[in-house]
Amino acid sequence: MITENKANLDKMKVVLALFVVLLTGYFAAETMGYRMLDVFGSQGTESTEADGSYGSQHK
Amino acid sequence: MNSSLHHTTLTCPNCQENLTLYAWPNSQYTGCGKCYALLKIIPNNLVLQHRFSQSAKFDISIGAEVNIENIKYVVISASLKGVQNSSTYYWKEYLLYHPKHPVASLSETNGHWHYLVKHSGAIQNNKTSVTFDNREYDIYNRDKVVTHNVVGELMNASFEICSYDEYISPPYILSNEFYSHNQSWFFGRYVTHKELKEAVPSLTSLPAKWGIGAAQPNVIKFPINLVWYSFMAFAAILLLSAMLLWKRETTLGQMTLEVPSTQLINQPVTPHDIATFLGMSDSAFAALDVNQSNAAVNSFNENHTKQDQYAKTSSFEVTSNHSAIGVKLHATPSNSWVSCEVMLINENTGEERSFWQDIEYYSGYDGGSWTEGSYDESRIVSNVKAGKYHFLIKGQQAPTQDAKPVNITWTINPPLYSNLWIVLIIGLLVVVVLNIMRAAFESRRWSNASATN
Repeated sequence: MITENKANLDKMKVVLALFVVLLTGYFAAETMGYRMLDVFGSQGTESTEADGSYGSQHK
Repeated sequence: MNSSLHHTTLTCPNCQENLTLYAWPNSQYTGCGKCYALLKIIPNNLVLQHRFSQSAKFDISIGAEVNIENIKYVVISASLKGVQNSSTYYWKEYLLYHPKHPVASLSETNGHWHYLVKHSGAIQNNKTSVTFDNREYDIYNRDKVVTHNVVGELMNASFEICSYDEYISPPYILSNEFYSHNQSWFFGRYVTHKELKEAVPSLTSLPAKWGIGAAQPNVIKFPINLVWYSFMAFAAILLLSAMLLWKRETTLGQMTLEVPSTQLINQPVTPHDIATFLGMSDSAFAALDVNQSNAAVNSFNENHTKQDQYAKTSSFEVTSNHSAIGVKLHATPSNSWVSCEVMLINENTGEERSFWQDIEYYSGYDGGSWTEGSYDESRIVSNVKAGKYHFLIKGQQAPTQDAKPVNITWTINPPLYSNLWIVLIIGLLVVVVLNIMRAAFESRRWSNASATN
């Protein structure tokens, strides 16, 4: 069972490496004030809503 | 051909072909590859038992060496088998013999190979699953099997019609054969083409693979729940990092902007406006000659350039070469809107980055109270180079409302929410794609099964 778990972890290496790359990429982008969306050509500004909601219904 | 194993040669009584026996006296029958006769072996003689009507071409020849799992077998027979009353589902079985090891076989279906070894004991099963050696096997095939052709020796009357149950736990497989006289369990595993070519040096070509083999390992080799656990750990670390990084946000400055209505902005310039700008009375302005009047108008226009219409904020320094600047706008329009143009000016290079941002808020009653919009909006200018900056801001609002001021706050290192979403979505996509790939593979595998749970 231990051998099998070790083998599974070995096979998981690629997925784990991808998650590490994503985390590193996020950390680098956030600390450098870089929007990943800019990769797709949308240079400029980002719109966010401070209160997290646009509208509401109060029945 | 294997020369190390003792063998005997007998003549087919039907076609006079010389037939080599490698396993005799352990074997009971042999098939003739020339006339398709099945012959019962009696000491030093062969007796015709049955004649097959279907020809077959086998990829591994009788007498070939097969070196698998460090056992050097000899192929003693090749059989063509199929499901009873089916004209489409066939497979080939090569019986492997070693005098000191249990009988084994290599079976080939649609180019997929499995290596099976006879299991001496009984295995408990509940018709739909089997637990063997701490693994759960699921029923995959349950058929009546017919032998269409045999070349070479058989250890028993395995050419008879038999019931056949096959259980899988990829890459492992268990098969149970029920004959009128006995039943046998075989335990095996999937064999790749690479391994097979190494095991059978005489094998020159292999049939192409088609579909998915019964015990073929999934292309996604790791358990999918491990991927989900990894993703959850990844998401937790990501959120924790984000929360820590978002704490770096620092306010650089703030101002309140009085916003004129669009009506005011669009009003035409009157002589009174120019006279007021020049600090003279309307009558004095009217008394100017044409040249003086034109000069006064030009002076008014020059002084009402774009920059003068904007409110300028105090300057601030961006020390890091890559930074994000956040701009938060707060206004309280009532069933109306306020709109601001914000320009970030680099005082060293003159480079500008600008955006428009609306603040809208509407509310009412329509079978229940409702609201739409928000008093607060925020924008981010990303990837700002180091330097000295200020903002130029101008605003306008709907003509129907009282003038509403806009409070503007600008910060450095604001949260870049889109980065978090992008990374989370990519991570989630990885898990979803792996899930889909695994499920699609299993779906193709089980589409070939004749029995399922």
